[in-house]
Amino acid sequence: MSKKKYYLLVSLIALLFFLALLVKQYLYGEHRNIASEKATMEISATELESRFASNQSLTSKNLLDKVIAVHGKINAIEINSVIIDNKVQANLLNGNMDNIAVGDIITVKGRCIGYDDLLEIVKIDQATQILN
Amino acid sequence: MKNKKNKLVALLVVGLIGINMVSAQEKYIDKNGTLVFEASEKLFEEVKAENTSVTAILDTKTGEIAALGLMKGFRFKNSLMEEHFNENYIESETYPKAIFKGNLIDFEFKSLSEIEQKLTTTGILELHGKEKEISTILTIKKIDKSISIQGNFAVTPEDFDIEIPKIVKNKIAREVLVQLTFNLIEK
Repeated sequence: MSKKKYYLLVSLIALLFFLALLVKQYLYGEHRNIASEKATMEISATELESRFASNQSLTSKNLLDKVIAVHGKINAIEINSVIIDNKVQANLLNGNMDNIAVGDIITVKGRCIGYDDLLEIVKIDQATQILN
Repeated sequence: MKNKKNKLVALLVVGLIGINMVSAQEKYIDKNGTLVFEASEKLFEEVKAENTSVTAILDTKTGEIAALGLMKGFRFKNSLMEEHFNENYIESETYPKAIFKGNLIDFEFKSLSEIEQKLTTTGILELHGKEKEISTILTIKKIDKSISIQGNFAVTPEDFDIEIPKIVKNKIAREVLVQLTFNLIEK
């Protein structure tokens, strides 16, 4: 085999390998890491709920799947979620419940998953507490 | 005169507490209910997602039950599958939620206990802009102050006008099995 052919073969294999990696990355890519993403906006729990309540479809289009920071007062803690001003339910990533108590003023960052019109609360998942 | 006034106030207070207690006992709520759906086919990658922030409300006076699951709240193991579910199949930006509203037939709050009971529920499930009547048997029990509800039912994508492209048709089961687990507490 000539040297030229050898190099061609090696680079072809390298290219194929690279393509396979790309395909694998596309098919089995990692989930988003919400905790490491920057919040696209910061808003109070009351304001967030009233945006959904006044125009659900528009607010859904604008905010679903977006990472947002929400602040307000905790009025209940249930399992792994904090209820803020009775308007927002933020489900915290595991292990982030320490140092949180009812009555605290809190800011959380998480992914907005939508509006629950049965309870009239906005739901946020994969939330983490932002310490000021 | 003063005595009478005091008595009246006391009566009012007792009465108000009483009213509060009655209304407080009517609704049981779960904000972190679980819905799992699976449409896996043998030999192919599992098609399964879980939502652990489903709302469920039970009116213990009437037996009315309502549940709401946000589509974006369904998490898949495979992130690409999750993306396709949201963008191509369920179209979660346009139809962000599924709502079930129904009744538990022969529901009686008093008869709830730690022993499991099987009750039939019928109601309407709204999803992807379409409605379908669902009827299934739920297992219900009451432990201390919480009511646990478990059950499952099956639906098909066609029920809700969800088109599955030919290229993936053999990888997704025709019937989608939905499992629900709620732990409701008094509100």
